[in-house]
Amino acid sequence: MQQILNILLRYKNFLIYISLLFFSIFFLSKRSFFHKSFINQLSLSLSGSVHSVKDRTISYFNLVEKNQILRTENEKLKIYELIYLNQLLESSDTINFPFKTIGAKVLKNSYTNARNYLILDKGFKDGIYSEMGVISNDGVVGIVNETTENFSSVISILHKDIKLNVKFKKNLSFGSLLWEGESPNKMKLIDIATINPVSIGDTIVTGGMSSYFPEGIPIGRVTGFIDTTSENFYDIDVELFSNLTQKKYAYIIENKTSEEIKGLENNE
Amino acid sequence: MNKTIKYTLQFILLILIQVFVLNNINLFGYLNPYLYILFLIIYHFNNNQSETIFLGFLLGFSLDLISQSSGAHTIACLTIGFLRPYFAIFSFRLKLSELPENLISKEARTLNKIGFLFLMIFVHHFILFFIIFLDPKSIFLILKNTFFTTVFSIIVIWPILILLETKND
Repeated sequence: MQQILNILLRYKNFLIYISLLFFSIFFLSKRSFFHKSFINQLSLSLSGSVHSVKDRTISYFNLVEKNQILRTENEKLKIYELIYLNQLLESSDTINFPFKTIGAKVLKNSYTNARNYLILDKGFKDGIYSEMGVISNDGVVGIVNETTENFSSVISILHKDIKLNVKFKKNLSFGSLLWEGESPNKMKLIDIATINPVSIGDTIVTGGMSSYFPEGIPIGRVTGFIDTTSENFYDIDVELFSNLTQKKYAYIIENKTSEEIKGLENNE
Repeated sequence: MNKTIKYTLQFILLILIQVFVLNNINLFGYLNPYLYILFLIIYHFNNNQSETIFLGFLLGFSLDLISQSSGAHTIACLTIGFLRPYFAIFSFRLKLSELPENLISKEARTLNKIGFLFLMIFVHHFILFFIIFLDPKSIFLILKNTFFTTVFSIIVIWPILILLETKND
């Protein structure tokens, strides 16, 4: 103990310098947007590389299980492909489907904080830019926040400040899905007017009102609701289909028309 | 005059001059002399390095807050506050314990003084511009700015140093 104290006293000046330097860097990042994004990019590429090393070593141990998941995923995609091809044959005019998917591996996934982030192993080298939607094999994962050359960070839908545009599969009444920070598969659906009938077990799908996600991806089902007639809006509990705590692969959605839509929104 | 009061007045005066006069010079469009680090140059040596580190931090922090700049002055001043004794040892060829209280005095040799002055100003300006630009691609711009501003700052600081010396006698 005495020795530790002696060492601390000996390097006192250096320690004071380092701690004040950290404070200054913090101060700098708070004041200037340019410096803030520089520091964010630095930390993202740092944690991305660390986690990719960890991930490379661990991924060997559960290859069998991963193959199984991939196989089922591929089967599902095959069906979609067949449907798509079928539609192409039947209708004479070309189908305009503006979305494209890019597969990525999840390097880091958090779900215990109030604001959760994921790190994926694709960056702007692979054509990933911020504000792209991210889905998994069975639901929505989040929205791309920031990208470096080889990595991108994704704001999870398990994030207190994110609202997702969703609707009912049965009657197209739409509302916002948000996370209140409790369990990683429980979410709240708000802004559904009480004139719409709701029953337990109803399926919730993505709404297509935002340019992030295509319409109709299944998200979850209603497990309970409170009819607050006085306020004209329901307070609905939703259970997610997808288990966001066990995601290893994700698909980033590129919307080829998002620039156009944004242009229109800015014109308003 | 009491030393604490003297240094406090110098501190405030230098910051005010820097913010209200010197930051608005913009010679050739971008050159401003940074006079305020004169405080760290003339501040006495008293074997208490922590004090200088803290004062350097405070100096840069106050300037950043008043002039609404990003925070680069804080880091630059903090660093030269920390490195000051080593610069003094290097340019005056003395041991740490041998440093006189008033380093900048009539007895000191001019060449040593200029060396110390140059090290303090150059390192400060380099860190300052490095943080402001923070981009490896603009290294030439950083060096150019550092060089010209250093020359300008020395031209402004040197006569004031001489003036202070004669006044102290």
